[in-house]
Amino acid sequence: MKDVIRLENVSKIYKETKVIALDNVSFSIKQNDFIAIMGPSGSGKSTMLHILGLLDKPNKGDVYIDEIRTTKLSDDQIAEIRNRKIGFIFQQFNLMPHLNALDNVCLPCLFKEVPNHEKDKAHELLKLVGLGGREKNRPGQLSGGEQQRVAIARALINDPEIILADEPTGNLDSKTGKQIMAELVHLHKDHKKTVIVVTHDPEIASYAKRHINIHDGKILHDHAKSARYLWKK
Amino acid sequence: MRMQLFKFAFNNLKARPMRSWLTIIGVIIGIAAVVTFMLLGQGLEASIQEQFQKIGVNKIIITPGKGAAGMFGGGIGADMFYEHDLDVIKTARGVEKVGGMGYKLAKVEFRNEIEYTFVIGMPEELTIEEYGFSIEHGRDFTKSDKYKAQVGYDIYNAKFFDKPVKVGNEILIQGKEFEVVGSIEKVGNHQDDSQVYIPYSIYQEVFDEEGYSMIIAKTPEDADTQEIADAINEKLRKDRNLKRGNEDFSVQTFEQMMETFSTILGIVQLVVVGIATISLIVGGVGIMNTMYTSVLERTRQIGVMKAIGAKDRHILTIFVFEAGIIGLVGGAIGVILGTLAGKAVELAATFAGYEILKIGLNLRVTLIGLLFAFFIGVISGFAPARQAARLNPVEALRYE
Repeated sequence: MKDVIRLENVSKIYKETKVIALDNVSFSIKQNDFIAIMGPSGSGKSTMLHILGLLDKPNKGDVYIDEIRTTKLSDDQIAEIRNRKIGFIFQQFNLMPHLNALDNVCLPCLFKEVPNHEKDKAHELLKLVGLGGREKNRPGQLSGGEQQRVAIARALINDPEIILADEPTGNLDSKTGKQIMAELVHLHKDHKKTVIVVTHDPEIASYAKRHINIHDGKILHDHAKSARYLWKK
Repeated sequence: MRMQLFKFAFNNLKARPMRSWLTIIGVIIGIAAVVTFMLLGQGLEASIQEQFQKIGVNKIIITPGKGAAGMFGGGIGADMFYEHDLDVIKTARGVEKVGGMGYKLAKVEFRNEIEYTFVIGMPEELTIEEYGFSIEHGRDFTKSDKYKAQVGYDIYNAKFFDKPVKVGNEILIQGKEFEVVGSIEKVGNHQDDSQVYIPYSIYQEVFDEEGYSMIIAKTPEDADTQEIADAINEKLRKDRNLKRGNEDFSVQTFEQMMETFSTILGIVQLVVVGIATISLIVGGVGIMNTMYTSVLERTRQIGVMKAIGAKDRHILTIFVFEAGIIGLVGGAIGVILGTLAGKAVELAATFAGYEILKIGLNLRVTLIGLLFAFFIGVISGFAPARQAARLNPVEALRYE
């Protein structure tokens, strides 16, 4: 299997505070993996998310996405990779409040150079996440769980290889949280997506095949899950 | 993709209707003011030109006193011309006919109703048509006419005295009886349309005046009036032993008068439109303010858009579109309201007797208004849009 993401000696130091958020980190993520990145707040987990999602650049080292060395690319080229290869899911859902579910799902298409049949696809994706018939609802008319489903559909619209979820259940009750995680598992299993979940919640992390624990900007543990029963959830 | 971004920008504005409309109103006021004043200026200039054209271009006006002051103040307490001057002007090359005339504010009475208006002593050498007017009812003066008068359109149509003054009626000018023999066609402004015209020799008797407060020289059709005006100037100067530049009289062609009017009007228009532009700038500042607020408020959304693949120029385009739409909508409504306001001024002027303003939808002014509004929008929106485009996605996403 090829490396979808590879970090080589990545360091991130915030100049103002001189905080070393990531300290010479190297690891790679294979295609169709399901990874949980864990760590307490201040561990460098958020920085890791930003680096993996190409929202931020490291001070040192290289980030490869699909074997493309992104650290040398222009902002526009990086934006295009985010658009095509990465689907973001946020803790606060981050939907556009004035757009209906369908238009929210289509939002990434606004920034694509060549538009395709995105409306049809958005309909399908809303059905896939169990929101068929709710296309015209605005985020305010949807529950938290439903909003997160819209966000998942939005993340899928450009058929990215990587799903990057930042505390995806953080704003949801545990029951809804489980449903959302089931959705991510489904994407991983049936749609062969590489799923990366950043969380501090071990319960959420237990869905993943592989755990990466970060502490003080360094990888503390990186191990494949031995307990296979967790994966049966 | 452009179209989709445009739709997206439009929806963003629709999501905040109150603020969008308040900002648009700022633009509307500015554009409406600019459009109204431009239309008024153009309408006034066009009507003045039309009036000059009506009165005739083949004429030269000679007044005592200097320059433009002579044009406005000639004959009122100023120096006078005499018979001799008429003879001198006649000798100038190209002059067809010469006639002296004068005008005074006088008491005019009709059926015990007293009003004050200008009484014009008409040059007897020129027919009414040659002077530039047309007879509507009755007839022109004849050589043998003594105490006969022509009346303006408004006097004939009961818009001056309570009752209409018809051909054959008697009126009193400065207490002397005159028979009305004709009426003049509508000129278009109340002042000119409520004047009374009498032969100059009678004018001299009634007002006890020796000379002329104005001389009209008629030139042939298609003649170069400026050349003839120069010839008249030279003859008069030589006769009076004056050096060039020291004239105590002024010779003006209608073209010159038209130019003088246009220049004055142009300056007035520039000042007024300039003031109106200030309100448009205020409207632009309003757009800028709204857009900066919007950028701040939507920082997180901008972060999200960047995360899901928006390039800097996409964000820039969205915000510039929003500002441009505010400008365009404000411009469109402003042009409509400005045109209506201009039309209202025209109606008010007509109601007051000045049927000289012709104002309507003007393509040039409309285009200027729309483009101006659009550019004000885009220019005002550019700085906030650039700030939005340059936001760091990580910081924007973290923004509460």
